[in-house]
Amino acid sequence: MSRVFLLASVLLMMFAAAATGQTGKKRMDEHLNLYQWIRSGASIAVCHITQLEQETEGNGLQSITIHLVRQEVLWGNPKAESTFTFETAENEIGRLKRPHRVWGRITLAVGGRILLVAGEEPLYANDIADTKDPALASLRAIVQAEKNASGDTARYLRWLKSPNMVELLFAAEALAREGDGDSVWHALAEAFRTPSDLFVKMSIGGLLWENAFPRASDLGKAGILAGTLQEVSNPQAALRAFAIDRVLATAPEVIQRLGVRAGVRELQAIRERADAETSPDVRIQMHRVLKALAADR
Amino acid sequence: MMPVVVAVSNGDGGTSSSSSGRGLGQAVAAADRECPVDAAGNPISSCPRSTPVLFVTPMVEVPHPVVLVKRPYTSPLRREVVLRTDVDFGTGGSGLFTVPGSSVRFFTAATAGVLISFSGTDNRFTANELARGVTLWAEGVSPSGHVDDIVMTLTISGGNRVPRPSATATGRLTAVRLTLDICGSRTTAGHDPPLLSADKVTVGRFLMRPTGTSTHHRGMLIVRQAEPADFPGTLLLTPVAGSSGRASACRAEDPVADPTALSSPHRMPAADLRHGPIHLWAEGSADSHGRSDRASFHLGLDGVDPDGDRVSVVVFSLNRLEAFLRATPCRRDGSRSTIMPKITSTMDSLVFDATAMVVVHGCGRLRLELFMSPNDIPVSWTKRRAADDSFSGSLPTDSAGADARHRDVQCDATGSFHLIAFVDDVGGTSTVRKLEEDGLVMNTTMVNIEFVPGAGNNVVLLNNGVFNSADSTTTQLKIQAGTTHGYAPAPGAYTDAVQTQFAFGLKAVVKLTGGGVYQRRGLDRVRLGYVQHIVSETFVATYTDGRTYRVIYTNSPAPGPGGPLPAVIAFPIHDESAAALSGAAAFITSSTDDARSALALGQQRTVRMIDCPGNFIDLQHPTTASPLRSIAGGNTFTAFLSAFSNDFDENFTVLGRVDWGITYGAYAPTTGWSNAGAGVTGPAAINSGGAPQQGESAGMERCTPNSIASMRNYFS
Repeated sequence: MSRVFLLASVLLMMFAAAATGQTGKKRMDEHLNLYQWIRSGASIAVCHITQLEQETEGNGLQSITIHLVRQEVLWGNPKAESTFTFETAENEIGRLKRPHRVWGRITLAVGGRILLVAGEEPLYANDIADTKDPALASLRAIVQAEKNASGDTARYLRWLKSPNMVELLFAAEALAREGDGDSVWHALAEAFRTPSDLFVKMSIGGLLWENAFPRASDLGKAGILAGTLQEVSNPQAALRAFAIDRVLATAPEVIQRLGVRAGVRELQAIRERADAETSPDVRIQMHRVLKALAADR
Repeated sequence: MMPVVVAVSNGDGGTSSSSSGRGLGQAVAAADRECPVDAAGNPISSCPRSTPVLFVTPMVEVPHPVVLVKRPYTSPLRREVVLRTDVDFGTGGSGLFTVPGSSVRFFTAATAGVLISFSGTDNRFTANELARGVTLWAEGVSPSGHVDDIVMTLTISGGNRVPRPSATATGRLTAVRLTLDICGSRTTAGHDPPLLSADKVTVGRFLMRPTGTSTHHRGMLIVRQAEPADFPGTLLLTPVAGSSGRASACRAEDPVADPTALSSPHRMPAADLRHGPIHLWAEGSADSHGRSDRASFHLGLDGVDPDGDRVSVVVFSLNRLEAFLRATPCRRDGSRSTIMPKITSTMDSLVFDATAMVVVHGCGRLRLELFMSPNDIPVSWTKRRAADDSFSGSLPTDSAGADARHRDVQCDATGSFHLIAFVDDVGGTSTVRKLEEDGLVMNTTMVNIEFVPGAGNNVVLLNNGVFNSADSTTTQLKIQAGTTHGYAPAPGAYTDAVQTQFAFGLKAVVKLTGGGVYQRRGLDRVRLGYVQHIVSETFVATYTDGRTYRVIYTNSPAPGPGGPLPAVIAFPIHDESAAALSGAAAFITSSTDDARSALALGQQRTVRMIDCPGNFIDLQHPTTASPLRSIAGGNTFTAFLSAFSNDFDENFTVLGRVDWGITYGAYAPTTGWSNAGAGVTGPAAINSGGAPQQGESAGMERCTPNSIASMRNYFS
């Protein structure tokens, strides 16, 4: 077993690239789970790496201990200093092929600056290669706004139309989980219908059906169902499957009560899916849904 | 002690007592040697004074006027009765001993001897014998109707002397029967337990010794009224040890409320029993040496004999009940199958608390083993569904184990169950446990996991549109099968949207059914995820000089370019990076079952994984600098949707499998990488046929070496 201590005061030793295989400045990921982090009470902070320790385990793996000092608190109450240990492949190809789920996004170099999100366990870490990184700027703006006034529906509705993915995703989740009123449901359904990045559409769609639909008024439900029907013939298979499955999972009685009807093309797409269903019980249920959607035809 | 009495007939049927009957007879005989006297000592007037008349006095001496009724299994002392005359009354004289009724029988010796049959011969004794004294031994056969109701008569006749005061002498005995019973286990709460269903002496009650960690029951002892009812003595209850088994009598049933034992022997005036039997309680205090080593309680009479009746007990202790479940053996070498610690119960409780055990339906065979002393006590096994279970289905299948102390239970049921090892109250075997038969309980919840019907709940995501080489540098081609630079989602639940970022994804929506009213008991100890193998690695990059690059899996260091190929690890290889071998560490990193929602009955979880295998190829061969010419091949994998319980976290139950593959596109020196031919292949849904299935039956490899730790670059 070998043990190497890398101290900040010595030098900025790079087993950085060796650890992550990443080089050069990279933009931060915009697909942040920011709403969950903030509402769950996780801490978000800018930290810098003060010390790294590496210990070879002798089984092809190495143990990395990373010592961090908090530089800037963005949210919550992170410790001033913290230490984490994780396991990763000793060999570079292993680290490239399977980066660590939390620490894989950071360059392991003493003095490096990172964004750290931590609950009871670390949740997310990312290099801050550029202090003006758009995703980091959005994050700062959101947490500041939330500190000032959490639950500001008007702001969320505004962000729902933002081209900034961090703001948009945060707003969609906040509205779906916390919002109320037909204007909210309408705005969410509209955001789902709006042509956009697949990830964004799928995220909003999931939030609509998981969180908004069960709480929405019949008017809101009708808007969500109608918006989803529009996507059942979407050329993107994932979105199409998502939309069809949600429609087919809706109780026929609810569909009839909401008065939502599907067009011929939508009915055809849904029927193909229903016919392919292997579970007889589910297939019967799906055809009941189809019947409800085609009530006037 | 009763006083020693000698009864001498006074001729009118009454009985007189004296400390020396012989003295009285002698005195009379000496004073009136020439003429007989009457009973009052007056000379008989008709006595011819000239004719000498000789007298003889018969006597029945009864030193112990109480005799215990013997039972087949008791050995009370026989009590002596002495038939005597004060003198030898001559040849031809004899005495006939008679005793009406059959409450007592007589023998010629204290033990063994010859039974007096009262044939007229064996109960007739010569004058000479009587003069020397004939000792018979009385043994109780049935109880007297009242005290002293057994009258023994010696009638002399013949000889050369005149009986005085009478030809008959009588003595009296009381045959006392004592009865001690012991009860079995209660069969109905609130009612007295029934008498033991087996022989109370040769079988006896099986009683668990208190051990401090488990509850135990005492057995009811019933001391019944002595017969005859007017008998005035004192009864004694005496515990008698076996070769090592020992028991005590207690006043109270509840060992917690009154843990003390009565002193030995315990005295009970017979008068106290006239209004009903006395209930005491037997408690084991030292384990029997074996099932035939019986301790006992003897009921006797103070001053008479301690052995009027008996009951037996066999004392045992239950140490623990263990449950063993085989771990999924490492496919490569079969190791680790016995690695998991056993779950232990030392409680006789039907409460599902933190000590209760959770297993996954389909996980295999639980092997239960009861540790006890002595270990030859017959063990009974039973099972029952928890009273609060709302799920109604069959009980788990069980069968005989290696011996009576083992039981095999299949994890083939759903809900909460009490798996019970107990000792029958008469040491038999039974599948019905009576209320107070002591045992140990392994409270077990078997969690069933099934796909929620509908294709939307069982999805294999094959996203061919996400392949890219955007991360490539001037020196390295980096082919990513996803848009996240190879990074898996952060820990926790993720969504359909997240899965669109990766080439491969699995989504299983499953329903978990556990125990209890809401069928959610035990679910918090069950984890689901995907164990993945690399089944093959055919990806190869070829340089213009014909040299190649590929990934190999070996425990050796990476060989230098052109170096010899080290010993490689055979496929399939567990596709994971963690060194740990248990629990979720066996799952591929991206596994999550954190999306959970309670159903009216049970729980629904969405179990996801993603994979985005990448390849990272130097654009020039590291030693020859030849440029990259082409790439080909790919990987195949198998992913197993699996579940384990935290209680047995190396036993994996497979609920479905997916065989899938990936290819990485094409490369040409002039045009670089293209996604032509890049793609993932696989079925539309997770194959759940035959599930649930034990991991080993499904062919799962969940052990090291891991792919990530063992992969090396290999340049030819």
